[in-house]
Amino acid sequence: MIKGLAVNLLLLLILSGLLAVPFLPFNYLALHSSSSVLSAKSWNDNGLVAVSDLSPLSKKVSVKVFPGQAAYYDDISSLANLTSSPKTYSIAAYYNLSNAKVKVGFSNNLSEIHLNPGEKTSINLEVFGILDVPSEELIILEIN
Amino acid sequence: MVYKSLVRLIDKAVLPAALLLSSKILGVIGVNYIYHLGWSFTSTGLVFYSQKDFVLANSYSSLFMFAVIFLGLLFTLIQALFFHDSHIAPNMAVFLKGRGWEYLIKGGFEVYSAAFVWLSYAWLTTVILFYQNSFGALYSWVLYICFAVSFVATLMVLLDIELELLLVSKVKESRRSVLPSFFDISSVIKKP
Repeated sequence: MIKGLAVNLLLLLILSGLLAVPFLPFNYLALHSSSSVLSAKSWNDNGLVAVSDLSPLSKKVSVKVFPGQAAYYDDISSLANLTSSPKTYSIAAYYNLSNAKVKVGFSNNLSEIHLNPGEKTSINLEVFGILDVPSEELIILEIN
Repeated sequence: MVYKSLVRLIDKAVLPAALLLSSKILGVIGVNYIYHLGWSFTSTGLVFYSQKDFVLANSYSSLFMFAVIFLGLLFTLIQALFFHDSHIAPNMAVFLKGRGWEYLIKGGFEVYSAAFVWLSYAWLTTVILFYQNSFGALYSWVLYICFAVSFVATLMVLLDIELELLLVSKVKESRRSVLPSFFDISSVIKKP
């Protein structure tokens, strides 16, 4: 009984493996780090509207800001050093100063990070609304 | 029974797995060659330098892979609908027998195991493409085509299963209608 169950389980594993094999190449297609905005998620609210590429090194982020409230967005984009040498990256945010206060940083909470070859980091964003009414703000992120 | 079914499914999944794996790889190579895309080999795999190139390579190679799934599904559906031993047209059966092509006539177990494998690949591909499409890594129309083909193929397989079940129930009914008359006759025989 147990032997039969084990054999069936093994066969089921082999079948699952066979069904998964054709999809392996999907994992080996990647986009270069400088333009790798393929995912964007916010963990605290639904204020993050969209993240898109302007160019390989700049990203356009739309957020909804609320008066006197701060919103934190983790991992809105990621950056990986796919070159063969260590590199220091910096990030800056451009936005309308009279509408919001914006702080942008990598996973080390700084606007600069040193990445070894193959190392990856996330980009985090903090937005504080200044206006009296909720508004949608556009933030441009530049990576150097 | 489970053991037999699993062995049959594994047997039926080996060739499609090899075909699909090579079609995806060939698709990527073909798209890179035709469109002269910028890419490099790294430890993470094939890395593209622009999102446009990445989406193009991913979309067309996935479409090429799905074309192979479509051919596999088409072959299986033709077998299920026209060469299925339970409801093959008599003139077709005679024609195949006359030409010595009776090996084309397949039983339910063989037809449904092949259909299961190809439909699994079709739906797995659709789910993966749906996931990629949500991140903008794929042309949406590729996903729509894959979904439509998978949906129609599933419906056709379900229709074939329905036809099979209908035939089975008809056979059972005809057996039931024969049995009472037999008992009637036996009771008649016992009387004297």
